[in-house]
Amino acid sequence: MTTLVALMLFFPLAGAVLQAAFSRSLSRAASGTLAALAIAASLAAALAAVWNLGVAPHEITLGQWLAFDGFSANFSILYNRLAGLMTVTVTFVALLIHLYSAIYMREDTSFARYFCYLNLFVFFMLIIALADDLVFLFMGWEGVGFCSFALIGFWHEELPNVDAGRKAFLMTRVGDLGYVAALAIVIAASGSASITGLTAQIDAMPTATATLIGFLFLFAACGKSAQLPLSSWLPDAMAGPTPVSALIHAATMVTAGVYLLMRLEPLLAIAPDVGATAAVIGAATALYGAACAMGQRDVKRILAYSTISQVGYMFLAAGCGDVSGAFFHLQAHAFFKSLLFMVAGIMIQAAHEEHDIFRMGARLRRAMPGLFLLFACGAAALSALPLTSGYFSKGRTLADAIAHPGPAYLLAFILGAVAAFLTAVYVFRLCFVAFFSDPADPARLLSDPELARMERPLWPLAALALGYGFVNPPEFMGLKPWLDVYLAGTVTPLPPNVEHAEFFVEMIDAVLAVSGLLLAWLLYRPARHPVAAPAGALTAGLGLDAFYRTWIAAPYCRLSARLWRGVDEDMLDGAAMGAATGLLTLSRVAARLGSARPSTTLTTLLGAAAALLTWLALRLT
Amino acid sequence: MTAQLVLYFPHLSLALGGLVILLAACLRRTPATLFPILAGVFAALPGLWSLAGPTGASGIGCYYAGLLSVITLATVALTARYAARRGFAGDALYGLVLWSALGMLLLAASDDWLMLIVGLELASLCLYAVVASRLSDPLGTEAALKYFLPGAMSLAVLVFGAALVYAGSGSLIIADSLAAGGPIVSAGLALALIGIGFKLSLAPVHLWTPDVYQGAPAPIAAFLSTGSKAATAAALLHLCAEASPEARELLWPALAGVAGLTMAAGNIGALCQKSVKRILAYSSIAQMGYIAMAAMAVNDGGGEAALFYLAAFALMDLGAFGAVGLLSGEIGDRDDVTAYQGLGYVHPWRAGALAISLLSLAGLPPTAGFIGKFLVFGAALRAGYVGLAAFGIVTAVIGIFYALRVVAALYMQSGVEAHPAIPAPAGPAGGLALGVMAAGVLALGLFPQSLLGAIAALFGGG
Amino acid sequence: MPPTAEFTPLLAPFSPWEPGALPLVVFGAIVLVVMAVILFLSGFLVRRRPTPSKQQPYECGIRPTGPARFRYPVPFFLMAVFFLLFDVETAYIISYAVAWPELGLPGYLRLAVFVIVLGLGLVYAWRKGGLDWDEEEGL
Repeated sequence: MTTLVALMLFFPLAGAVLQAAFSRSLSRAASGTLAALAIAASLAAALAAVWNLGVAPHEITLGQWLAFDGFSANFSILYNRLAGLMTVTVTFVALLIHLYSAIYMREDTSFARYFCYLNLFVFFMLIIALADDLVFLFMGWEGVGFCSFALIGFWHEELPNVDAGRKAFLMTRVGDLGYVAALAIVIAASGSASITGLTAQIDAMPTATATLIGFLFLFAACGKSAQLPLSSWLPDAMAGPTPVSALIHAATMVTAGVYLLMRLEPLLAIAPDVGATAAVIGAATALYGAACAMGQRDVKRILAYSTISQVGYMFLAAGCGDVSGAFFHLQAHAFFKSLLFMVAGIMIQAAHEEHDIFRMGARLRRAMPGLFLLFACGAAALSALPLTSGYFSKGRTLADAIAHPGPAYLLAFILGAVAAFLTAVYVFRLCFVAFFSDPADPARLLSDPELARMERPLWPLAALALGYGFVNPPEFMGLKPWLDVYLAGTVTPLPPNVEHAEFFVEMIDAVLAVSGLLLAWLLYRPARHPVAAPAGALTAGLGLDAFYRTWIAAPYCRLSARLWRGVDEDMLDGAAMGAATGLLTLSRVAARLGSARPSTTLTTLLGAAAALLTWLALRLT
Repeated sequence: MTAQLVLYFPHLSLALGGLVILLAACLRRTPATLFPILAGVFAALPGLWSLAGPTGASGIGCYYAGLLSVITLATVALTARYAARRGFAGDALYGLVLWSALGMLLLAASDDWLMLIVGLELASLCLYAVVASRLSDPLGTEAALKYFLPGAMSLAVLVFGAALVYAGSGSLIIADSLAAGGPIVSAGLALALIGIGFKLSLAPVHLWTPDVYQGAPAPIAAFLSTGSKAATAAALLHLCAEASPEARELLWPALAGVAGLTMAAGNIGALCQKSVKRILAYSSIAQMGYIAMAAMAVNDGGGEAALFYLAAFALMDLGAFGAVGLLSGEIGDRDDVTAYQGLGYVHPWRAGALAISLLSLAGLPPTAGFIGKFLVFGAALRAGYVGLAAFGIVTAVIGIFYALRVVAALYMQSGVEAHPAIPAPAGPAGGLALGVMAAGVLALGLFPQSLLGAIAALFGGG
Repeated sequence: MPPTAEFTPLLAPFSPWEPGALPLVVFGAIVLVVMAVILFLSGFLVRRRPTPSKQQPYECGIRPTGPARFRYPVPFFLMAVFFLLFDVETAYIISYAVAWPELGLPGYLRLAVFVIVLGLGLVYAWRKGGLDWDEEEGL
């Protein structure tokens, strides 16, 4: 098992190193093949590891990182069934995205850099999925942040892309402060920094401490998963290549925050306030994202807000303590959202880099019927049309919320339900406008056989988007819930009242989705010649960016300007300059004395002797 | 007889070396390249002797035989090609260097006032001539004159001091005479310290130093600033160690003032200099201030610290002056700071050695200068001279500035205007010596324990 | 060796108020005061009226010709130095000869080394042309 896990981590790292080392000499095809092979090998190792995995978790230590003063940080791994499924999901989606990328990046010159970052990202993501030691996990946490930064600003010749990368980096860094603080408290409270160590001592920990740690980790998770109030970096992160958006900013990295909460489930169990907060934040974010998606015209920004919204559902489930439900939605979302992003990538390339859905229209559907079919599969799952994967997984999260007693969870349920309705509306708005309408100034269409080849890796994802729900169907359908059973020994089992609520919730969910579809049809059907609403509050993400700019960035700039001008330049520099001027004056005096005639030297010599003897005489008398 | 031969082997080899070189010059058709080789061989013998660890030799004699051997060897290696290309190489140059080293050895290991004076005078007389060895250079002649006149006067002061000590104590043995105490001995010690302080260029009698260092050829300036300083500092340490408590109480406040004034004058005086050799001269003045501070704390570990610092200082000053010499053109030494701009890219090795030496002079880790300063300040603090040590640290911080100014010029990218861009070729011996000096500076900085262990072994027994 | 007289250190510090020393101190003070007064008065009382002929350097009444700085021929100076060196050697040798009975063979050997080294010095000076009276080619 140790070998398999180590290999799983080794292959993407080796791929990244090779890409970096031979970036000059690798051909385009070789680079893509090498990257995909590395991920495929990692996927094979992950599958083999899961195949051999029992209920009992494996604790593996690959080595010691640093040790001092009784504290040590190890490269240790907690490999349980949750981690196993996570690694398989990550590597599987990553493999398909690598295959897609090989064609998508067909005209870019720095492909080796791209694949290097992509492989490196998978490596760090697997560390997050596997790490037991929280310091080790933090390495992966920061690593994916770095890769995200590098890939958002991948086309770094243009300043807005770099700015977007920087913004993402800074905002997630704000969240990381929470992680570091939590890490410090964990080390201080339990003496070790591992998840297993924390779990073992959880009963002895005071609730206040646990709650504090929980809130700090929740803050970190919010930063990484683009939840309110740290959500505004994700829409800008769409400046990167589309496969990157699919892999990092939809399928894997943004779910790392939720995954962290799942791994820390024992901690959340004794700190119920944290769970409730996570649920409310998640539901509010779900509504926020869905509402903002209504106001966008850029297909990738719609999907980005949609991602924020969907990750909110995962927070909702994780906050309710239903790990397998949250994980179920995580997987389903990974499949259908990466599918949608990659379809969006093809749409954008087909329309000559046009992002505006109001300039695409029905001609795109006629030119590429397969693409439309793929999109429809993803859209159905995202909007939770009955029997798709999204239907079951989202219903499960809403059922968690209503089954929990307490006003906070009721509020979360209501927010989530409204968001579910809005989700259906914006998804089909996107669908009808982009594939059925007849725009006034359509973008030119590109006909390139490569576009059709890019569709190929998407079909497995489409199938999973439609059918993955039957891996974990609700209890009332009488089928076996494979996922719940598989995870039964690893996480807290589902409380029975959730199962009772599920029937009711799934009905509501179906009604909401279908009515959303109908409303979208009423508003955006082709016959109405839909035009884009002018940019408003929703387009700007409800002013979250403006809020940060006005109330945090601007005062900070003013303060730093004052510190720079007033304190640094005037006071500190002034003092330093004054001292330097004085010293220079002294120095000129000393230098003038130094170029002395011998007579001066002799005078000083005898003068010194005289002075010393006088001093002695004075001391002696 | 044999035991005495062994004991005085370094002295004999240096003295005979000088004679052999001069006699070789009397023969017809002696190749000019023979002189530096002979000088090198005879300079290396004391080092081998001290490595062999002879029985019966004093610790200080053993240590200084090794140190002076290294300094002389490096000087000969740095001078060989330099002097040959500039037309002042000759038998007299190398013979005088060897005899000067002999004088330094006598001075460093002297137990006796007379030996101290004879050693100091032998070393100085040879140096006066060596400084002026480049006859066609008016600056060199001027430097020799400026060194000779006050030097003779300072010797007179020293001799007068020694006479007073003898008058007060009736003994010429340094330890006995100083132990006697009394006001006359104190006055004599004060005058002797002034004479020695002049050779060490302690403020306020440091004024000759910048002119002499600037006028002397660069490798000779290296010898002047390392060998003569190291040996004279040994005499200073010896006198301070033997001084009676009464004399200490009388003289130490004055010595503290001198040490502080020297650090300040050296470091501050270097700030606005435009000539690299003058900067190095002021820098060596400042270093001697730290040595004087260590000499005050000589019985609290300051002695060992000072010996380490002297070795480190010898390495880095030889490296700095040697690099200046090797970077110079045929006509004069490369002296203007602006003439060093961008040399770090054109001549990375020589400029790198210069940069390492300068950083070490500034006392930045991981160089020997840092460890040396650290030890010296540690000793001063242990001995209770907190104010002086704090003042010294402030001046050391000022001192970082001018060292970095030269280093910055070396690595200035824009406007590479070094004139001449191409210095004379270094020659294998000079290049090797420079490399060894730079490596030694780094090695002592990284592994100070090797030398400290040797010092402790030599002086641990008392 | 003959026994040396017992040494008595000069322990008592010199005091200007001792009866034997007082006249000397008073005399020195008077000399200093008189010198200072003369120097001051000559500068203070004299009216300066400089003329070109007054500004000329004084050369025993002759009109000065040529620059004051020119090179003296060195050979004479060199000869003088050599003479001095070997003259001092004579002083050493004579004082050695006086003490011959006490010093014996070891003393003879020591002086022999001294003389030989000095002789080598003479050879060197000769070879280097230090003894040639030639203003152009000599040192």
